[in-house]
Amino acid sequence: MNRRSFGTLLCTGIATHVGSVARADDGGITSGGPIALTMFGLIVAMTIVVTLWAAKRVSSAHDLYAAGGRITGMQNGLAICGDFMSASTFLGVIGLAFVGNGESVIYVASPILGLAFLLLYIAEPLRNLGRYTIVQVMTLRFEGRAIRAFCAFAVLTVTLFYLIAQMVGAGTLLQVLIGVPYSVAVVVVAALMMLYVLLGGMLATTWVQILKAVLLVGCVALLTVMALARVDFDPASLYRIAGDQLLRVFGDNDAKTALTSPFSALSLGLAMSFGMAGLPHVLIRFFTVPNALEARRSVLVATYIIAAVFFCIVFVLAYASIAFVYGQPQFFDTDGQLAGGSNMAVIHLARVLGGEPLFGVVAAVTFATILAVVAGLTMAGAGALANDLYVQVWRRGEVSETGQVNAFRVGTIVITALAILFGIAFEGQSIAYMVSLAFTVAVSANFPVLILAIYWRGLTRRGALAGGAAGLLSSVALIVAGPPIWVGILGYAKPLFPYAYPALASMPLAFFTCWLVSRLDPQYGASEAGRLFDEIRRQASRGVAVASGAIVH
Amino acid sequence: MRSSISEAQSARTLRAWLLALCVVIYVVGMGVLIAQASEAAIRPLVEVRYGIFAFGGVVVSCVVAMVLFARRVPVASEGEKR
Repeated sequence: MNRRSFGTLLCTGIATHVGSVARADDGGITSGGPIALTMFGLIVAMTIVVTLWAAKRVSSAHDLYAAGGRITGMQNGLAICGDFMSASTFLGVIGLAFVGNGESVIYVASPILGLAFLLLYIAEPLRNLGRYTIVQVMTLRFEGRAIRAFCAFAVLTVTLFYLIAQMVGAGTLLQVLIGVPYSVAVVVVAALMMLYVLLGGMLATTWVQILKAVLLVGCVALLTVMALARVDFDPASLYRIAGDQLLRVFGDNDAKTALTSPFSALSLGLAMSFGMAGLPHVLIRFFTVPNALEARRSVLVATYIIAAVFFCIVFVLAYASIAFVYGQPQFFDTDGQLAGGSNMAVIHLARVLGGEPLFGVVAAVTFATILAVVAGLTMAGAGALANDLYVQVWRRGEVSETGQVNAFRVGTIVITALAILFGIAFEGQSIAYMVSLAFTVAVSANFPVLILAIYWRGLTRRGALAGGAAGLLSSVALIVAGPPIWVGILGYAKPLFPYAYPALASMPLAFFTCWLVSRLDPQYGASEAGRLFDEIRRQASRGVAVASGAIVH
Repeated sequence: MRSSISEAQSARTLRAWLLALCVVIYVVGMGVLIAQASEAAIRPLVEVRYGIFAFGGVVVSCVVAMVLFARRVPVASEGEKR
């Protein structure tokens, strides 16, 4: 096996795009016709119009970061749907099922549990505290630049993992739709994402998410009806055809998925359930509503819509992709590989069901989906980079409001550059798997310190730092040492860690380290810290008036 | 004062019970999936009825928990409690 360093992997990833251009030229990749391109252009134009509209309404840092706190519960619920129904849901989950991987059910069931947890334990306390990022909650309890720097770094790590998945999805989609090389597609997506965030901030990001959520729900509903109509609305026929296709394509070739390993299945479930409570771009959404009632309402709205969409995706569209895309030679290259990879199964399904127009609509909606998610992620990442690391840690908060906005803009450009670099390097990876890595880091590094900061009196600053660091380092190290990266990408013969999903090891380690270091800390049980905790608990359960502009970033 | 402490305690208890309900249903559903997948002869795309059972169970339990929570536990209004 060829052993390569991570640095050379990045360069190799970029270099492989010369090959992808060739594939596009020789017809290995299908591309859309004029109708598809027109549909695509229309939907992208709509999102740009929304961004320009929002840009006129952004006049302060509060508008830029929190949409002025003027979003209603219903609107925020739709935006949370938009955040969560990313490329991993629409493309990745169907892509997994397309190759016979039963993990797709874990991918869709776990976030529902995560939303329930979010409603019961996270949304209202955060809204009542008036603190919406892990960094803000931690700095409410503990002083010092170290804790802020660590939390910002953890947020950046999660954001980057999530961004990579979206960039891979968007790059492949554009490649299939308009036949441009993958690397060019990634740069185009990054440029649009930067435009949304720089011009419109959180208001534009929220409204693009709402628009995209509505479009995606409509798109899933349309595809579901058309797929069922093809089997005379008899789901049993659909499942029978899909089963026959899987047997024909794979025979008795038994795939080793997470479901065949209880450790991996539990790890994946844990990450996808509780990781949501550590996702910066979802938590920041509770900042945009005016009060706790609207925060609660937004989670309920999001749950209803997400559950319905997930059901259609996994129990109709995934099976329809298997039933109707296999056996269509025009979607496969000479090696028998699906054009654009298995992530593109649902895009090809749209072409089978509704021809060129539906292909264009679905591709455009999917692209808008990805754009909206990457814009939200960029907001969270650039906020951590600019406000937490630059303004608070480096400049100790001594930056004017204009300076903060400028720092945010520079942060956006840095995040965009990183997204392009990693997006190109990780071409061809499973989108769903990449997103699960973001959830794994979130559930290991962010979730334990956030939940303990809100609910455990005994947590000390050293305990939070040590526990968060243990979760972050162990999750990243075990991800790299696991089979998909250590063997699949880095080329080693055997993985150092036998499982693809390490959350079951890294999350308990983070909790245990928080507890152990806090107990050993001389500050454990200090009366001043106890009083501060009691005050925070009172605020979290009762609520305090949070004046506009009184937000600590 | 006493009544507000008791309200807070009952809200905490309700929350814990509701989360426990969701987690138990989730673990049972996923357990069924894992058990079914390990016995599957072909590539383990889970059989539809097991998938629907697991997913449906999780959705129903979580939605019931969330609605019960929303109805039983009043929202702390920022202005009132200040």
